[in-house]
Amino acid sequence: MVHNDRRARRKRSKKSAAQGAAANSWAAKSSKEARRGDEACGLAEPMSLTDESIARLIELLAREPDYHPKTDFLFRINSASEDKVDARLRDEAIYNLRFLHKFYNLSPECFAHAVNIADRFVVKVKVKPKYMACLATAAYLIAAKMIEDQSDWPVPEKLVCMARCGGSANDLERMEVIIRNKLRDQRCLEEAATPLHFLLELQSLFPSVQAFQRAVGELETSLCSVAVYEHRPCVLALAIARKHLLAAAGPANRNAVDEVLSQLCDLFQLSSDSLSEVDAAISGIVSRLQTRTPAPRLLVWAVSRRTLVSLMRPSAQASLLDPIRED
Amino acid sequence: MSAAAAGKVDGGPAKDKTDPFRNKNELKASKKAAKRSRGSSHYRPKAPTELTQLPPLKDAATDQQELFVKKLQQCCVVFDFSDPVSDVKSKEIKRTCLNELVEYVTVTRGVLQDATYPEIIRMIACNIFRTLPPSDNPDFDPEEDDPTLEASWPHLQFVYEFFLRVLESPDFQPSVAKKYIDQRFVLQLLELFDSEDPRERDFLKTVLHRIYGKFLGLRAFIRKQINNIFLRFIYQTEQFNGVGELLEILGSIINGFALPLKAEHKQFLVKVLLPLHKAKSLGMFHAQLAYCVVQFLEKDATLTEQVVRGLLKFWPRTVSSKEVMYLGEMEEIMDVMEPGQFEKIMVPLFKQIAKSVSSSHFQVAERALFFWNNEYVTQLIDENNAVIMPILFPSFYRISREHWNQTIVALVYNVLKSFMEMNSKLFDELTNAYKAERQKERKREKDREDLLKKFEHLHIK
Repeated sequence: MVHNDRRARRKRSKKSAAQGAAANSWAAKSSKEARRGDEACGLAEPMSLTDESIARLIELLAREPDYHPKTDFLFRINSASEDKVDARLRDEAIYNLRFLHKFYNLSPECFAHAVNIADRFVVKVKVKPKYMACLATAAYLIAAKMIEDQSDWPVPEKLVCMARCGGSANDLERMEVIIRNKLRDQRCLEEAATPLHFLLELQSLFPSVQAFQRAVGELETSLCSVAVYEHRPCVLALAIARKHLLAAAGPANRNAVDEVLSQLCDLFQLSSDSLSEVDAAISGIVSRLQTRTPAPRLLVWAVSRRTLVSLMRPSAQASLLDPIRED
Repeated sequence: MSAAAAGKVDGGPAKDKTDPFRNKNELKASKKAAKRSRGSSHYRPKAPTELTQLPPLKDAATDQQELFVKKLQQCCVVFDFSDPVSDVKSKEIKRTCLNELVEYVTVTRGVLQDATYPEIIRMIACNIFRTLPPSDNPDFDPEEDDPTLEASWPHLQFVYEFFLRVLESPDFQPSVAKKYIDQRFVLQLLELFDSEDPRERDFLKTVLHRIYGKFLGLRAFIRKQINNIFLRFIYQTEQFNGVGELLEILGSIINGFALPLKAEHKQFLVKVLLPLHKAKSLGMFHAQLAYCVVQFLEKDATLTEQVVRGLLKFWPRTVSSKEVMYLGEMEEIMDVMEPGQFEKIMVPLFKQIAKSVSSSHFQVAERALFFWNNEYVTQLIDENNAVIMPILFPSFYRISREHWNQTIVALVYNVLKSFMEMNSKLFDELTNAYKAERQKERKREKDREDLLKKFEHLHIK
């Protein structure tokens, strides 16, 4: 029954995406086709939202406050003295989780749910820094089990190894049980209204799959900052959608795009100032996170004995004879 | 040739040829038990070999030079070391004499007079110039087998030592010696580099290095003859023991090349050094060869493209140990590569690296992935990640799911993570495109299966 519900939910979200842009579903087009679609961007009229999409947005707005974690207290914690996760450690863990998500390449809903679950747990339970990585990984495992078919679930043994969260597969599964127990009295995990869910409802406005995927990528990057995720999910989604839609819009349909965005602002009861403020916050975080030098401590280079032996024989030691000048 | 060298006591070779079930280790063990580890390369008609002890040089008050020459002449008598019990006393006299000559020429000034040069060279030539015996073990493996040592080494080592001391003496005059150390002498010296005794090759290397340094008139000839040896090795025999030592000498020569490089030297790089990478026995001299190549590139960076494309052309397809060596050399080349040169060859180079990373031989994959531990190489990759990442990404992504070796998977994880951190936008695009492709493939497979089922169903009907 649960399995069928999950499939039904996935089908619903896919169906909403398919309307008006049936060929633009997540997996339907290859990158080449998507690029061709991209070339056409700015020329086609953006679709307006259907009544069904608006109804779903209203439904998400109603659920939004129940699932959005209040993480502002993280900025007041000093992890060194208090031995608790603070904003910086949370951000680092979620950034690493994002890589794990890209590594497994599961649906974007998995990452969105995992961040939501991890943040809600951190709000409810004071987490020690050493457990944050394990918590984020377990949250991802829970999200994957919610969203994906069983054949695509990450194997705990490999997940622990890839995530470098410490502990064993058993520890990860125990953390999963702890999270489920602690969040049991809250609303159902699957019903969370994350920023991604709002963005998915706006997919039909995007001119191509590629453009929508870029927006999703930027949303995932912005979720890596708790300072950005503090804003309402609908605001985050709209700020990102606005940026990408305006970038893709040509002069011919700019007005149409502005009109749709204005309608959405009214629906979400937002002012343009608050939207601009969020936009600026997102841009700052995204530009910082999209290109950064890899942290050396995380890159573990363990090679086999034979390779190590061959690395110890550089050719520079091959000649002990003095150079002979030609002239 | 002695009976032991000519054939095995137990009739080994004939038996080996007819018995197909004896494995390689048994064959080697039987050959080792039967063969002697020392060969003698002297076969001369029996000449008078009894020596009379001459007085020590330090005791000669006058006519020290005359005594010196007599001792040199005495040392021209060559002994047969294949028989350990023959001429023991005379051999010892000669050994002591040679030792004395080494000391004498080192500490005494004014020894090297015009008249002594021909005697010195004659003594050296008598002892070292000989026809080397054929190899006992054509399948010689340097990591498993012991080399065949020269039986007359107790004398030869002093002869070589003496030769070196003469060459390095402050009194040595190349203008006089050049009458005796001429092209014919050098040619015979070069042939000795095929000796199986590594000690002898080591001495020869130093001797030839000194001769090259001091005799400017012989340099072009020496380079030409080394070229001939290498070309014969590459295209005809694939058998020569002294390639490593000759390359070591060439390394010091290349190091001293004047700029701009002469066309002759560039041609040597392209026609000789690069094809040398093809040899089956590359492992025996690869370190020296890589050093030569890197030295060339440090002299003239514009040769980079030619070198890299040359290596890619000869890239090993089936021998994994060779591929590991090539990867090591490529990393050393990249370490000295200028960014401008890197941009010219990065596409074909990283296409090959993508294949190496995908190798199911874990050492090859590991060595290729270890490039990302090199700070300069990762900097070059970072500056060009928009071009390189799309080339590497499909291989890395596939390996992370399919490779059997967990160390490789962990290393790929490291590299993918650094990719994402360098350019997460591009990384996202690539993961999305990969996912779309994979889903298309799965859909195609499913459609194919459905069609086959329909055919089966029709057939059953």
